[in-house]
Amino acid sequence: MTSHNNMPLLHGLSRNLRGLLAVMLLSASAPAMADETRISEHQVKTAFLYNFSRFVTWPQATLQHRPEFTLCVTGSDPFGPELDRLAGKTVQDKRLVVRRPSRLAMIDDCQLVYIGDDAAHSEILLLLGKQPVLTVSDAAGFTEEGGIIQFMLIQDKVRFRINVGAANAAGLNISSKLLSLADSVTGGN
Amino acid sequence: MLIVVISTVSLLIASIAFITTDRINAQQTVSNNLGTMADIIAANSSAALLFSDPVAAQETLSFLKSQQHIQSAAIYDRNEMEFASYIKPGLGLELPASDLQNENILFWGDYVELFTRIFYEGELIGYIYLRSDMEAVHQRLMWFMGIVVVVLLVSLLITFVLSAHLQRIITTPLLRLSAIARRVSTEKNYSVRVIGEGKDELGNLITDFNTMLDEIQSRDNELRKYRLKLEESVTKRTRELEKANALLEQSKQQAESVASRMEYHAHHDVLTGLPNRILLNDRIISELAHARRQQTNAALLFLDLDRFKIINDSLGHAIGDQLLRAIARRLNNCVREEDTVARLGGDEFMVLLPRISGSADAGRVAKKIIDSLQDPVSCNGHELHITTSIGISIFPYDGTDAETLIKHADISMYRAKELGRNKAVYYTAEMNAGSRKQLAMETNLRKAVERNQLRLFYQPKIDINKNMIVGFEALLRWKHPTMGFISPLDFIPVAEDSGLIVPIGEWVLKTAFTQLKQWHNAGFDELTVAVNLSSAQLSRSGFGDFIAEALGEAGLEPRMAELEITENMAMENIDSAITVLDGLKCMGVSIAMDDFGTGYSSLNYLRRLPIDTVKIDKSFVREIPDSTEDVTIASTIIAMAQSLKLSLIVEGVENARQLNFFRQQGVNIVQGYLFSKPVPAAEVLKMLQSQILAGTVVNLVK
Repeated sequence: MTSHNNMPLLHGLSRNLRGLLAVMLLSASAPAMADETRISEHQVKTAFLYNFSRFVTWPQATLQHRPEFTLCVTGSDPFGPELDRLAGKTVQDKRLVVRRPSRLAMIDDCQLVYIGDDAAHSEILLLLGKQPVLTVSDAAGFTEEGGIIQFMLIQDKVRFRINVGAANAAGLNISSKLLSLADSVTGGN
Repeated sequence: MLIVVISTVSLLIASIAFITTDRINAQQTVSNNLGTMADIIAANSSAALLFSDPVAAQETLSFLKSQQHIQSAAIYDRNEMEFASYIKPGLGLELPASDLQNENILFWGDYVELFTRIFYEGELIGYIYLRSDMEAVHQRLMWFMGIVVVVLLVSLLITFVLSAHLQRIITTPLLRLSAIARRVSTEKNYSVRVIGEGKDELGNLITDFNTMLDEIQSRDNELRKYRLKLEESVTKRTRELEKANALLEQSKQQAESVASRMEYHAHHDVLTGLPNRILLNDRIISELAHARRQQTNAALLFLDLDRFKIINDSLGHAIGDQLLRAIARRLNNCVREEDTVARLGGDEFMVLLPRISGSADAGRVAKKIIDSLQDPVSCNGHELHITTSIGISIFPYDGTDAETLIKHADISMYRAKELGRNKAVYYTAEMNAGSRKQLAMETNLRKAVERNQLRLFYQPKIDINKNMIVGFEALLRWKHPTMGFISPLDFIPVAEDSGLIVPIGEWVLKTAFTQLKQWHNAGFDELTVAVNLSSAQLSRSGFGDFIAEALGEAGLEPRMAELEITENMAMENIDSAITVLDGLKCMGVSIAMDDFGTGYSSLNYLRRLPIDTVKIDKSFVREIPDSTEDVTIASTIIAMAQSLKLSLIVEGVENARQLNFFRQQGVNIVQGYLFSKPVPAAEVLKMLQSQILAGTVVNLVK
């Protein structure tokens, strides 16, 4: 939990206090409330998926020969067309494409995979093994199973936890800035 | 003191410059610091903004608590919604809620505001606002100004001390120097010297000054010596000059008297003492200029003594000169002080009357002159009667320059002579039309009459049927001794204008008649003579009596005389012409119409005139028979003459073709070069005699 030596200030505060402050700020700011209600949870998550890709570094060999950065969804898709709007954005200097592969065998072409609730998480994680694929899911206990990022809802706000160990095993380097925002970070040594 | 002021001012300027630069530098530092701080905040809050984590952002701002000068700070999301903020307690500040887009740094005196934007991978994700106080800058400035004041005071003190010392070193000797200089200039005492020495510039100055005084003193002494010498020699020279001047003055006076004598002679007539032509011209020019300015009149009287030449020639030059002197005196008595009487030479005088009130004044003076000459002049026992003819021209009416006025006065004088002498005549414009040349011709013609320079030539008239001379036309010729033959076309009009035509005409008639009588006496007693008349003769009363008398004197029968008139002459006064001509006709003289066909007479008048003969003018003859027009005219005149029972003479027959033409037309008598040009009387007799010898005239020309 305390692997961020470069941001000592931020880590001087307890998680609880940070949560309390957030509540105070949100309740003090009416436009912020309206914003939150207007933007759906899935929209937030869609943005998060994109932002994750910007704070993670893939091994050079993985992206070197690919023309595109592939974001995949397996299993049930909670985002719908919202996700497709990400297509065309730039990630890691590549054009982002969104795929929904019909066969599991095809997911090792993806750089980021969102695994839907109805998918067989453990089977997929097993299949991916140590390939440099950033795995994200809403499923409870996803990080414990070996997934890298797991969405959570805390006080109606979308947060996430990160399994740094899994990321490192897959050869992905997650920015400390992202780590500092995670609700919890596991697997670090 | 000046030094102190200068150093103070320069120090102040330098200090102000330093302070200004330092202030700018301090502001630069503050803005750099704030920028750096904003960069850190941006870097550390980008993830928080992207993942909507205000708590994390708030934590990012929390380090500002340790920055004493930061008064407030805020992070806004891309919609300008406040995302996280920090406000230093106790200041009661508010955060800006809008206008965040422009990156800016604003200095407000007490504080600085910085607006900047947050980018992540080129994407605008939020804004930052920072506010800092200026305490550090102000403190630094106060410190700096304190140092400046101290430095200023210290340097003023040093300057004051140093300048006081300098003054003692430099000014004291200079003051001494100037005191001595003043003494020298006021007392003119060059023996004083400045005390003081040294090896610096001032020492040199004093030494140089003293050397200069030495120099001046010695020069002053020499100058005094020279002045004494100079005064001596000046006095001597002055005496010499005075002597020389006296001599010069003497010779100058002599020269002046000679010059004035010479000038007098150059401008005066020796004989009479009157101004000559040169002086007169000068006076005319200056008086005309005066008259032009004052717009007054002036007059010129041109005098020519009548018959002076006769007196001169008959009584001698001595008497003539005496007469001229006497006349000069009389002329001078007739004019005012300001008038000029000048002698132009010979018997010509000119009087200039400036500033007259009108032309009548000139006439009065002229009359006075004529009257003054009425009393005879006594010269060596001779009582001489002399008259003068005067021509008058008036400025500005008769001319505005000297030359024109003199010319016009001259012309008027000739007119006065013409009008019978002993008269004064004003110039009129008509005189000028006649021109001086004509007047000169008139004078010449007058002399020609007096000196018998006029001659009669005779052109024979030939009866072409009988081949013999039947008569002559007398033609006037004037042989001038120097100009040769003068054409009748030139002098007859002059004679007519001047009235000379009357004596000339009388002379011609008498001469022709006398001549004819001689030829009659020589045996050619059937010859006639034709004489041309002038209109002046025709209109003269008693002309018929004169003809009768002349014929009587010559002993000629009237029928031997033929008088030729022109159409125009007759038409001038047709009634009196008819009367005169009728009288002549009754006498038995025959009348010919000369130049027939050239005038404008109507047949009606022609019938009323008692004409015996018509002469066909040579202008119609010249181109006969080639010109059909002339042939027609000539034929018509001939037919008309025949029908009126008039005899015909053709003039200007020059060749055989013309002769044949007129012979065929029934003409009997012709005149022309074909037979003979006009010849002098002496040749006529030879011609007549050879005609008898040859039998016929025609032989002469064939």
